Amino acid sequence: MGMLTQNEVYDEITRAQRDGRKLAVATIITTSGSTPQRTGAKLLVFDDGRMLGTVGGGCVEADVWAEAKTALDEARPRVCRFTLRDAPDAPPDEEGMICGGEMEVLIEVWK
Amino acid sequence: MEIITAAEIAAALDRARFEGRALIIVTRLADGAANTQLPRLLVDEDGCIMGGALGSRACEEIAARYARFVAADDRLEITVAGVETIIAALDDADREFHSPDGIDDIAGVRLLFEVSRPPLELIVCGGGHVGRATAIAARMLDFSVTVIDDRAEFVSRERLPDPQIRLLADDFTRALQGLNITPASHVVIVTRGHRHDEICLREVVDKPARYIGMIGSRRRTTTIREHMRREGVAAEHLRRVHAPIGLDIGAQTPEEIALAILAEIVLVRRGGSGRPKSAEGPMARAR
Repeated sequence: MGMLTQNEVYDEITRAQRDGRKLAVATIITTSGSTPQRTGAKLLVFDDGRMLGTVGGGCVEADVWAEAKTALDEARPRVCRFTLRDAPDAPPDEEGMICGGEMEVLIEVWK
Repeated sequence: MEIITAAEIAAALDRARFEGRALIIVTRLADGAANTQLPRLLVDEDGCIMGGALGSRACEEIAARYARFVAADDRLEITVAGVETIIAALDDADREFHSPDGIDDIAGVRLLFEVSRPPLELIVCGGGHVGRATAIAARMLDFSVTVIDDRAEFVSRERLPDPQIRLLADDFTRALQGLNITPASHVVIVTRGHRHDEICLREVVDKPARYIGMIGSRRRTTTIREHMRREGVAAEHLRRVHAPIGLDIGAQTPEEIALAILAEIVLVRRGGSGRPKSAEGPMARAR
């Protein structure tokens, strides 16, 4: 799935608002170190748990989703820092790369 | 403070896309969790504020000025910068910049800049060998491509099977008048003869396209220029036209000519020199 454009994101927000529903928009705003994630990538999380877009997949996507759900429940935006780490049971990377980057994610709630 | 709504942002994005211009959404970030919707400012590519607010005049002023620099760098889609970093960058880059009053109140504030650029568009007049090769190669560069020819068999799906390429089998003038030519448009005029080339050029010469190029020998293109000058087309419009079209790479075949045309378009967009990089490279010194 490709990255959502700003037009798509704001159209989705407008549609959700018209239907009287809440959604959280998570945006990767900075990255440092070795991360597969791209800045600007957006994940939309609706109040029923449905998702649209991607922040690059992997375990971090689940973490961002969980944080977005919390933000939705509290109706408070936030900037969160995530450290990317391999899952403890993951096999060693054949390329010898360590996924040890950091990223900042802006999570906003629209209602 | 008036917070801009999602519907207003969506409308501004639609308008910018239609006009073929970039729009920058600036968000004032809050550290950790905040209680409200974050303040946003909409800025066009010239640094004009199109809506929204950031809760401080000084903050809005530096955000708008900096947004212009962010938009001018084609590689940037998103960036975060602190107020202090922005002021230092503007001091270096913008001679007319004076640090506004009220800067102390926004010390440590971080701003998020997100640029929405219009999709690049290539309009090819003429579906012959060169037009076809140019359209196919331009898809690789992510252009949305339209090919026009008044001979339906030259703009058929058999010749151009990529469904992403829009095909217009119509009179050149009518087809061009029906298109929305914006600063995101690039027009390549490669019809079957100079008469049709001239018709197409007349239609687009005063439009705000980022690039206009026309095929033809130096002699032919000079004749067309003289025609149009006598008709009263402004010299500043004629000067923008790349004719003969393309970078000089010695292109012979239609595919090579397409490459020369697209190389010139990349050069116009990215601002290269068109010279071999090796001319000043380390190996040149060994020669």
